[in-house]
Amino acid sequence: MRKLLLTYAALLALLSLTVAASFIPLDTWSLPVSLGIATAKTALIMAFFMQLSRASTLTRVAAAAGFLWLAILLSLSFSDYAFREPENASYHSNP
Amino acid sequence: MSNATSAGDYRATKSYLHHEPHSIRAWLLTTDHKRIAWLFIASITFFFVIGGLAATLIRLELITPVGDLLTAEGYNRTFSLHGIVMVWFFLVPAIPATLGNFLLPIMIGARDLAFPRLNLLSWYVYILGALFTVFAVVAGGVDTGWTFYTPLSSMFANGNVVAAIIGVFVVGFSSILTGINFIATVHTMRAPGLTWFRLPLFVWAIYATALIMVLATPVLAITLLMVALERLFQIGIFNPALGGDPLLFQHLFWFYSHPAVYIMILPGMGVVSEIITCFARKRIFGYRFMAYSLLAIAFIGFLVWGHHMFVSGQTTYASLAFGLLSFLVAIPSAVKVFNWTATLYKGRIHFDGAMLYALGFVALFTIGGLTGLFLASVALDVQVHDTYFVVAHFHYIMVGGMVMAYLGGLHFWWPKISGRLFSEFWAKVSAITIFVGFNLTFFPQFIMGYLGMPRRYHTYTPEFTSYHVISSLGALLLAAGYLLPLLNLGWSMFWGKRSGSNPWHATGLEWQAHSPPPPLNFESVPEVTEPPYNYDARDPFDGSRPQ
Amino acid sequence: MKEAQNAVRMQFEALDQQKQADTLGMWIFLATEVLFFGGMFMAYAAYRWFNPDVFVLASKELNLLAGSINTAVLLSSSLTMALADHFIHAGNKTNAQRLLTLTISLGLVFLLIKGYEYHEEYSHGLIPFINDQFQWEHGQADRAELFFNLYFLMTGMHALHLFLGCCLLTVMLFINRGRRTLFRPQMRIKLSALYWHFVDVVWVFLFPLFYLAR
Repeated sequence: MRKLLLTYAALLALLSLTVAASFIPLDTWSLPVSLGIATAKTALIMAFFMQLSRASTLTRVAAAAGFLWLAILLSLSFSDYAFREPENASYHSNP
Repeated sequence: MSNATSAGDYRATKSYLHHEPHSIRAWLLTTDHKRIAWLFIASITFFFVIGGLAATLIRLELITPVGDLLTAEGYNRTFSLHGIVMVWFFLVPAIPATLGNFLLPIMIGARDLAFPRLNLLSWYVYILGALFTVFAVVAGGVDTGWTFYTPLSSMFANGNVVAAIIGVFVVGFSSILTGINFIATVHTMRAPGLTWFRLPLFVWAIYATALIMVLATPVLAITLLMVALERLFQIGIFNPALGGDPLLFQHLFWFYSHPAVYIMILPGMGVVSEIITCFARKRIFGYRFMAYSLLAIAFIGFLVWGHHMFVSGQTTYASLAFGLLSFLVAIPSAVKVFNWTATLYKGRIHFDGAMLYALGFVALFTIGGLTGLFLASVALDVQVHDTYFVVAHFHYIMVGGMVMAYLGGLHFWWPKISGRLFSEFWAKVSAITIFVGFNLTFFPQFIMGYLGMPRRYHTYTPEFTSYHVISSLGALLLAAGYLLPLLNLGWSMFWGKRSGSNPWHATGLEWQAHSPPPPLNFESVPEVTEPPYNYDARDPFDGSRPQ
Repeated sequence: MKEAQNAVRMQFEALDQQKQADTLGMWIFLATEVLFFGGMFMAYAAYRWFNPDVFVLASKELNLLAGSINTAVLLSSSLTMALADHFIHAGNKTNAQRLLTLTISLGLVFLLIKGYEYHEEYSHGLIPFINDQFQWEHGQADRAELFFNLYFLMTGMHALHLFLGCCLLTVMLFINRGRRTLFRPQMRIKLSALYWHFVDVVWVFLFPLFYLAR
């Protein structure tokens, strides 16, 4: 129970951190920072609330699979998007 | 349902077919995986007939170069019906939901799947979604093809596109539920002694298939939902007028639909591995490689979807990457073909009906697979994209491969499913008829595709006439070939000789259960003490086959 | 011991096996949910890649305060859910039921605040597919529309999942009420909790992507 409360405190701290960070002009680093904090929160939730920290390897693999396959979807799609010429980036010219 | 069943209850005297109650209501509310398999067998046969009728119309129309039977719009709707029904309602559930459902628990020595009620739900989701779609497509007509490409589907196409999409969306959840059920079952319910590398390859194949179902189908679901929302409420996601990217739809769609090809073919590979090793009376060659290559195909299958988009406006870099990755699938696929061949080498081969189907599968899959390599190379694909070459290629895999395997498996396990023997003679005749009819239908399509005949046209220039006529005549033979097993197996259901529990003298737990099995499959939990396909260690088979 | 035996369903040999299968089944289901939302995250990624500036401008139109409070509400509901799970496994059903009720209430509070936000955005003319005239003065209105379409689609889908979670927990609350046994309520709550936390995780990503795009 103490672990759960500590996790919760950490989550709230991370929430304050990410909101605070959004007011600092981090420019291109803003997205990686906020996603990094979100990932940290997810890790906490999954490890302690969802009890993956004491789950079997099989369960952990099942939990990881969805994220892994999402990574495949994103990364291979960006093998296309990352190389689009700006003028061909989409089919509509700006107004 | 909560009572732990005592040992006495296993000794059911009646089989799952005859076990009380057997009213229609009892069958529709059953949670027995074997009865649910039957629900699926009946349903996919129904949809196969509908898809087949649409195919017949297509081939009839194409006998002459002019559009005399169907209008252009009618032709579009017919091939859309054919594609939608065959892909979503026949091919995807075909082997996993029928043979997989029936055999998976028995092959691992379990009493049922891990979630029997979920299994029944999966059939209801499937049948409601599929009937709804077929109604929508027949009543309103959909002319987008089975791929629902945007912006055609979301902004321009007429007809009941949304209804069709919703139906396919719903059926997707049937796949997901089946997949979850199979994975949980294989992981947690194997009999004592049945380690992973003692599993029959069919179980490996179904397991790999279930992984794809679970990891790919949700992406299809959300993609179709986005198309439906865009069409219904103008919530533009892919709409180019907003700066949306129609190619995004294709990325998402093929992230499911390319792996879906492996949903269709992997179970077939599992079936064929079982049949070939049994009728060659020899242990399968390179068992571990066979198992690993199934998983490898399932995994690499997720990395290749962009080869459907070489001419869609995808960047060249992406095309190069996807082309290279696509070639990789050839490696595990070739491992399988070589190992089947090596299993036959010096085997005591028996050319039973089921075996003819399996050998037909290997031949047709090899042709389909090799022409897939043509399509994976960017330069050549630009030439033959959207021609009959592509049509022939994927029919070789899906019809030549998958349907051959399904029918082979159905014959092979029919004595287990029904407790009866069918006519070997007619089984052989049907296998040969289908093989010949199939090649007559689709081989000419490779040639005319290479010569430039585009797909999805209902008229063509007269130079292609002879190819189309051969193709249509072949389709006639193919249709006759498909009718034979229906009659042969249907006849045997009532008048066939009783088969005994192991008519092919095959290994595997399923052959230790009675034919047809009792509701809980085994009298006691079986224990596995030997490697799979231990044919070498058994008495040499004398060659006389039960007829 | 008898109670444990009775909880084993027909197809399983032992309670442990059944627990394993149930847990694994739930986790696989959650993996499918990740990919279900994943399709929308993919769309977001592609469009933000093409229109980084418009997305930042559009993000500033959202109510950051409401969004932050909602994040805190949802994280708190995850805590109460985890505590409910903790108490039912410790045998304290009364506390577990109370915490379940609290979790449902927090879920409803989230939905209320979300509804308030939607209403606010409607009155600002920011719902492209409902408002007659999409109000946007910063240029590239079409791309901003794309942002808001994604915002309503993704947060709406999340809200739907949360609503279903509330329904699920309400059902749990009632079917666990009369029972003297603990085995089945324990498993049910454990699995429901997994779902609830998953919905929380989705929001953990939605929040920075939509409210904090800078």
